[in-house]
Amino acid sequence: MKFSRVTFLAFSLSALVFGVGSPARAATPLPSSLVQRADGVLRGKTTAALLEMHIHTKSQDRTYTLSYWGDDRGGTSRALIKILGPARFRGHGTLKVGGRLSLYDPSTDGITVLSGSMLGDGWMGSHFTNDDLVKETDLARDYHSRELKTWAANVDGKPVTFHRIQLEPTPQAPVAWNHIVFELFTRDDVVIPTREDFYRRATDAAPDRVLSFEDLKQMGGRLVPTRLTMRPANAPGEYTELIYKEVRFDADVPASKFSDQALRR
Amino acid sequence: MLANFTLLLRIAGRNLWRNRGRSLITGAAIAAGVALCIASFGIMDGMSSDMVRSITDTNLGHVQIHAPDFSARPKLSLAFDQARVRTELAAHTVGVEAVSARVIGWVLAETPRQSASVELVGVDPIREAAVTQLDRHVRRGRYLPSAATPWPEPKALNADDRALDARLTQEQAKLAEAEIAALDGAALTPPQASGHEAAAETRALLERLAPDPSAPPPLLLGDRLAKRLHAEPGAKIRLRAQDLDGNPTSAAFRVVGVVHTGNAAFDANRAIAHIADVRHFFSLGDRAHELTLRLRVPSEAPRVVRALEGAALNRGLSVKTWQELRPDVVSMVQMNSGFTAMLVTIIFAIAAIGVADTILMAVFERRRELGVLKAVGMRPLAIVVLIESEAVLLGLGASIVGMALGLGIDALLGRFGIPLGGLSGFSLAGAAIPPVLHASVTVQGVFLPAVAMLAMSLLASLWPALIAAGTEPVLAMRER
Amino acid sequence: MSETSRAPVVELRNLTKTYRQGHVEVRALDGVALSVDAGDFVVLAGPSGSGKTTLLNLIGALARPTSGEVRVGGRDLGAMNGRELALLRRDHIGFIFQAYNLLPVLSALENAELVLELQGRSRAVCRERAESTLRSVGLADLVNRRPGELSGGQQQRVAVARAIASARTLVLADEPTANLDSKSAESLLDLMVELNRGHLLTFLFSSHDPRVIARGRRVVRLEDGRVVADERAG
Ligand SMILES: Nc1ncnc2c1ncn2[C@@H]1O[C@H](COP(=O)(O)OP(=O)(O)OP(=O)(O)O)[C@@H](O)[C@H]1O
Ligand SMILES: [Mg+2]
Repeated sequence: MKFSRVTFLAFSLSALVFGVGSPARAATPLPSSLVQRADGVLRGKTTAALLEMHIHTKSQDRTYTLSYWGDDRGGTSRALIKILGPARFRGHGTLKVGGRLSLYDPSTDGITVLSGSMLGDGWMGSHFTNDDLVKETDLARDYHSRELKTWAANVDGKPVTFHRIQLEPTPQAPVAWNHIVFELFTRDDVVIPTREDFYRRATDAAPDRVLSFEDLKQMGGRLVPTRLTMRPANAPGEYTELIYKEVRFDADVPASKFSDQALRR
Repeated sequence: MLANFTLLLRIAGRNLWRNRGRSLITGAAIAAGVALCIASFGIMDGMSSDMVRSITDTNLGHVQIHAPDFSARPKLSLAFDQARVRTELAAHTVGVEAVSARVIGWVLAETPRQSASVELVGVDPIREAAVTQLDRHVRRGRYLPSAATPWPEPKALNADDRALDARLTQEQAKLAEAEIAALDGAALTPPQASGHEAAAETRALLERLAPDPSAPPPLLLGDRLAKRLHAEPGAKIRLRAQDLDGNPTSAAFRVVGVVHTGNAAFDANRAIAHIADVRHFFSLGDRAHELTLRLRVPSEAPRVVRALEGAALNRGLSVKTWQELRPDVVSMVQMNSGFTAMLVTIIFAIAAIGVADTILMAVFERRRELGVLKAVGMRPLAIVVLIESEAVLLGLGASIVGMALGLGIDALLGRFGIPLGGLSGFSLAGAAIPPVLHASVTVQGVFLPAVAMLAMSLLASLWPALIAAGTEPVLAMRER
Repeated sequence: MSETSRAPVVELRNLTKTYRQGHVEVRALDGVALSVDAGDFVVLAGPSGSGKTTLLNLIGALARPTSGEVRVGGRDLGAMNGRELALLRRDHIGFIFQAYNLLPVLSALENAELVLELQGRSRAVCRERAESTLRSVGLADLVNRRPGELSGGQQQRVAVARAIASARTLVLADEPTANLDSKSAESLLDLMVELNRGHLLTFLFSSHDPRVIARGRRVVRLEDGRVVADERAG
């Protein structure tokens, strides 16, 4: 009896390890799951972050200090961004609850609800759109993924596998892009995005804009890219950088953070 | 060559008189046809020119200049240096009556009760009135005052202020950091005290960085927009948008007037303010998005475009006629005249049958008489002329009466119009079909039907005339 | 006119006219030969259907013969085209019809002027000739009446005026008195006789009224399309 119990246990364990575990190790992961993990690299169940945004255009250079609060636990994803400085923009905030986007202007104490068509507009003069900032689109859900190419390389002296994946929107997806080419690498069990090329038309040879992910750091208990740079193709030399100073994942962000009162505060 | 023409005319006229009942009926039908054609042309011309004017005289002007992509995808950043373009234009302004520069941007308009997406257009009130007669479309309140609202220029911060600003940002970041750190650990409540002070100091800095206008700038609203916003003259409306640099901008405007142009897109979406105020609002400097030209003779638009094209292309701008900008309206006008032409053709066909029938009857009734004329030596051609004379006399008389009648109808329709009732004031492709159709009289619209009817009488009676000319002279000898 | 007064105004040779009605051929004239001198006053007599009207039609260039030759004023009608025939009728032949055939929309004067106008005479000439002709047919007071306002006899006088106003050489009349009462017929004949004398006009007219036939200077009798008698009175 005893023996048989031990044998049974051993058998079960080996089944677990070999029978369930080995396919995961042996087969290449699905491109869609890679995209999902790369896309969510800077998102936890909840996310709280302190960031800086540098906007460089022909006419101006500007830096915002921002706080970001996100909560993806419930059915509707929610996010709040507050501008902490400089004076011209201090107190401005953006609140997203599901598909609804509200902007707060402290100088008039007014809250403006953005219509869907304005989601594609630049956020506060940056090269990120409102949609980019609050991530209403979900790459894994709204796009079909297709592996274009994989290759081996070294990152920080460690071997990694790069994947280039083409994303094409599902017919009903409310997205502005014809297709996206997503580049990422996997190392051990982490998936890190390196570059997203956004194409407006199928025939375009060059992307409309490019988002790159750099400066890998251990932050909030994960290895994450801490510098995101958006470069629009139609304004060469211009870019907007988003630099993570501090991030915390999966903490219990109170629901009150995503209210109009919090937006005003 | 012909036997005495006056004799033929005399015989023709008296023959018409002999059968005056029949002549009268046919003549009345022709006259009614001519009157109907004239009235149709009048209404259609009136409708077309009303439609065209509803776009050219409320918004479009006759020629527009903007960045090539602006019409398709209007963007704040497509503004151009209008002052220099204007001086270049000055060299080519033959036939240009007035020029209005405009800035255009979409904004969010908020009243205490409503908010709406609005196309904010900045115009020079005097120039705009000269181009589109916007001032005449004010239904309630008044037109924009010609002077812009005094709007203090923004000032850069000095070193001390900048240091203060940096410190405030630092403090805010610290607070946020603490708040993030305190998540889950209920013990650490972030300090809130300094928040209000920071807000007050920030406001003080802001007054220098982005000063408000000295008073809410005046604003005109399209009537449907005003209704949507529940805003009447006197109401205050806050407009929010992103300025040229993408920064949020907002200002309170005061509604001074409500306009109704009949152009649906205009009336439902437009808010109009002084160009200087809108430039401040959007941080546009001296730029404009659109130059709109009014021409002395609208049909000269293509010529003016050709004259301006070179200079505009040098500046990377495109010059377009209103026809090019609104091909939909052009094709509607063409469709309109197509319909009219069809209607007129039908009227003519009916009139032609009537004339042919009347003349044919007259010919068959008078075969013996015609035989006698041939027997005594009248040539077939003279007989054709005789019969044609009858048709032409009938057509001429009827056309003159019809012309008078048509002019009368046009005059009545010009004054009183046809109310369209339920269809009232709808618009096709943004060009307003006026609530009341007014006929407009054109020389062409009046004379064309009359002359055409005459020609038609001539043509329709050709066949009976040829039959008459072929009458055998022996018929004269036949006993009764 | 003095030239033509000697020569025959009308010459017919072996004149035949057949009407075809379906399969039936009607020989209305059958080898008629006839010559009419200028200034003569000839009556065509014969029973109904004998071919009088047909003969006048051919002589008046209103229809063409089936065969044979018609010469008027020495010219062969068979060799002339429609235009020439029309001019011949206009300038040389006057017609008086049984049914008067005046233009109802024209006054007596205008009817009398008609042929003159067609000839392109000046207004004054037309007016003067028409008025004097109407005076000579005894209608001086009725010049402005329309045919509808005139009696049959008066209408036929206007028709005579129309036929002779342009001083033509040959007047053809098909039963000019048939629609008139005997008194009017008598006076019309008087008028024609007088015109024949005064103007040297050649008259050729048909009738089956014995009283009218008796006034003819020469009587040509037709029967079944043939000349059966040709008599000269006195
Ligand atoms: N158009 C015609 N078609 C067929 N037959 C005709 C035509 N005209 C005359 N006829 C025939 O030709 C013949 C001669 O006719 P025509 O009219 O010349 O006679 P007429 O002597 O004038 O007779 P009436 O004294 O009755 O007037 C008649 O038999 C007649 O029926
Ligand atoms: Mg007869």
